[in-house]
Amino acid sequence: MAGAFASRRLQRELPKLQATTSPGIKLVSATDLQEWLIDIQVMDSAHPLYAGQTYRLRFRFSGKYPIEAPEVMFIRATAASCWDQKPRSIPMHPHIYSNGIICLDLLDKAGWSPVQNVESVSMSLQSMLAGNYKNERPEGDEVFVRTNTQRPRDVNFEFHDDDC
Amino acid sequence: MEDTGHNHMDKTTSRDEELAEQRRLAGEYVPAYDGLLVSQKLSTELIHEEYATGDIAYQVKTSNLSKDFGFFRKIRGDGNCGFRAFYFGLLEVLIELGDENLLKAQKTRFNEVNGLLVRSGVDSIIWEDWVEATNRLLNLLISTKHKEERLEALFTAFNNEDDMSDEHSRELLTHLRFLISYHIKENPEQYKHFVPDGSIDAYCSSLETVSAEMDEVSLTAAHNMLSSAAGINIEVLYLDRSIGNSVTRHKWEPEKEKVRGVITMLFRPGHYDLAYPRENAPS
Repeated sequence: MAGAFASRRLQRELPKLQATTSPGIKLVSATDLQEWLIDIQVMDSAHPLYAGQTYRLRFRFSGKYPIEAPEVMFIRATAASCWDQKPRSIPMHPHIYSNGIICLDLLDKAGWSPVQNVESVSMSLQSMLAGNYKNERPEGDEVFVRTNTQRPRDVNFEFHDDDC
Repeated sequence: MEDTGHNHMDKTTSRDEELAEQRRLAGEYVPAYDGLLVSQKLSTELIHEEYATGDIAYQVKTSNLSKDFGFFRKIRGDGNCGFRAFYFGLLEVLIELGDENLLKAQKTRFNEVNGLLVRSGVDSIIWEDWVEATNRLLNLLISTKHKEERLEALFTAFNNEDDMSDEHSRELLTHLRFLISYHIKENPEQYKHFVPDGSIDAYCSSLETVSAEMDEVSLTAAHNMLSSAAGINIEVLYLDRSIGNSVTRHKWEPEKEKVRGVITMLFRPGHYDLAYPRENAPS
């Protein structure tokens, strides 16, 4: 259940996001103040990994948002369920596990700042993709995906280097 | 208040314990969790008792501490303790002075420094709730007529972590945190020699995450912005292993000659509490 401050903040973010002019960012659904879906695209039409692809982000908000980070991950979707009749997959990236969990400091408990918001996080993830040319998963992806039972924001990632 | 501290999964608890142990080994003070964000006033004898079996330097210093400072408030150590101690302490001192005009002047002062948020260029949807939280609390304190009731209202607001409530400590502290960051960014010349590597950007980015704790730079900024002009002084009592039989006392002087009141913060490495001098104690 979203708290009083979380609800107010999200209610203010929603119309801005619906009217966003940021290229490659599209609000797909926000039926309540707990879970929003956003589609993102890398705008570089020559990008070897992501050109022409659309990826879906799922934001989940606790009652402590925006003081506490939202839970953000990539999710799969079937073509039939998408507005453009194209399926959504999990983008290949050294910081994105094949189950959609993202390793990014600004989404971590210690790196989150309440000045961030749904649009700014979406833009950060968009540029995280745009700057990547490695067609690979994080080290230990298979084991992590098979054994992880924690929710994304409870996973303790180390950010000492570029590896997750 | 619901005590969520016991609902942690075993795994989290053991990790928390591990971290606490690491901090203890690193010489940082990790306060016990007692459910309140700001406690009632407690006897400083309790601090002395905490060290009864510990380091002799602490035994001597805490014994002397309780001679001059009779009471203290335990502040929850969740990364916000310094901000919480300063903000609560400031409003408490103003209430204790018993003059409603001081509260009104403080509200005006907050509204002036809120210009920092406007000038930052950050969209107002980000910060208007925090500004509102402070305004709502000050309006409540101003409209409450008796000192005891005001103190009770302050205590309630700072201990409120109910997500559904409008009187909310998290928003108050976030407001203070961002005012401090934007004040430092607007006055880099004043602070750049005191932040690591002289990098205001790096310092403020860290300050704007919710886990960055208060340090002397941010405390100085808070004082320059909010307490100095009110004639409120800050004194920090350093309780550490340094040489001497008493806590080391350091004062941030107000810009006006007339000192109306003092916020006394008790600092142990990694943590701030509030302390209260006995009436005849040397200042």
